[in-house]
Amino acid sequence: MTTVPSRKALRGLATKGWLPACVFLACCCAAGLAGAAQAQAGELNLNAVLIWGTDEAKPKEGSYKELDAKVKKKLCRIFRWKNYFVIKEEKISLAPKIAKRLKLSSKCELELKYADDDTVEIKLFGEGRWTKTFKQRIDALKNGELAVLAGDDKDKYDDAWFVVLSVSLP
Amino acid sequence: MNRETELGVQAWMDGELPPTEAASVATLATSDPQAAALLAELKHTRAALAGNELERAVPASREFYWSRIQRELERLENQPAAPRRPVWLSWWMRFLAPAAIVAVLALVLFTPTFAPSSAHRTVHPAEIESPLDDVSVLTFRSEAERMTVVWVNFQ
Repeated sequence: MTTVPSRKALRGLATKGWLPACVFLACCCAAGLAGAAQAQAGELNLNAVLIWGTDEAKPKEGSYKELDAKVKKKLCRIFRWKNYFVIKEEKISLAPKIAKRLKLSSKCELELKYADDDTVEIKLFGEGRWTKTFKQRIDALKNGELAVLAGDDKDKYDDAWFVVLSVSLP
Repeated sequence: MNRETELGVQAWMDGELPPTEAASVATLATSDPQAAALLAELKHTRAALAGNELERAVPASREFYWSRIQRELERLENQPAAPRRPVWLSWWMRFLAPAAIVAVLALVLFTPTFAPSSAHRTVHPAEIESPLDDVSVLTFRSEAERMTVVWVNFQ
C-alpha cells in the first residue's frame, strides 16, 4: 500500500534542510550534464585573420578591410602600429582528431588540430616551412582570449603581419 | 538476617511498607529474635534522636522566607516574554538561508568568472616548438588585453 506524504511531512522535509540539499544536488547534476555535453560537443569554431600592421594610410588599390574595432584596440594597446588592415579572414570548424589546414596567403598557412580535449595546437607554416607550433587552451579561447602569431614584414620595412586566432561567435 | 530484611524492618518501623509486606515483617519482628533486637535498637535510636535534637532558631520567620520565594516567582512570571521570531524570519532561517548558501556555492563553483582563471595557463612554454634554426621566437601574454602573442623573428 502506498502512502501519500502529508503537507506537514513535506514542510518538515523542506525545513529540515533536505530541500536545499536536493537543490544543491540538482545544481551539481545539471552542471555535470552541461559540462559533459560541452565536452562531447567537441566542435570548435575558430576565426583566423591575417592582418597587416602599418603606419601608412589605407592603400587605394587592393581590397583591404578595416579590422574589427575591438581587436584593433587591443593590438593598438600593445603594438606601435597605427593601422591594421585585414588581408584575409577565414572561419574554420575544428573537430577532434582531424587536423585542418588554412591558407591565409601564399606565405602564411596554419594547421590546426586538437592536441587534447582541452588544448588546440596551432602550427604556423611560413613560405611552406614549418616555422612554429604552440598550444592554446580551448577554454581560454572560449573566454575571449586571442592567440596572436606575428612577425616583421620581410617585404616591407617597418611593417608587420599578424595572425589573430579567436573563437568565432555564433 | 540479611541486609534486605534489616532494611525491611527499618522501613516497617517508619511506616513506609505497603500493607501486604508490613504484615510479613510484623510477623518476622515477633518471631525472629534478631529482627526483634534490631527493631528494639532502632526504636531506641529514634527515641534518642527525637528527645535530644538541638533546636536552632533561624534569624527570620518562616513567613518571611516564603514571601521571598513568592516575590521571586511573581517577578519571573511578570517578566516580558522574549520576542518571538517573525514567521518570515523563521522561514528564512530554515529554508532560504541554506538555499542561499547553496546558490552562492553553485555560483562560485560553476561560473567561469569565479573559477580559477585559465588565462595563466594559456601558453605552455615547454610546449612551444620551433623547428627552424634561423627563427627566434618571443612569447608574451597581455593579461589586460587577454591576448597571447608569439612574435616570430626570421634572421
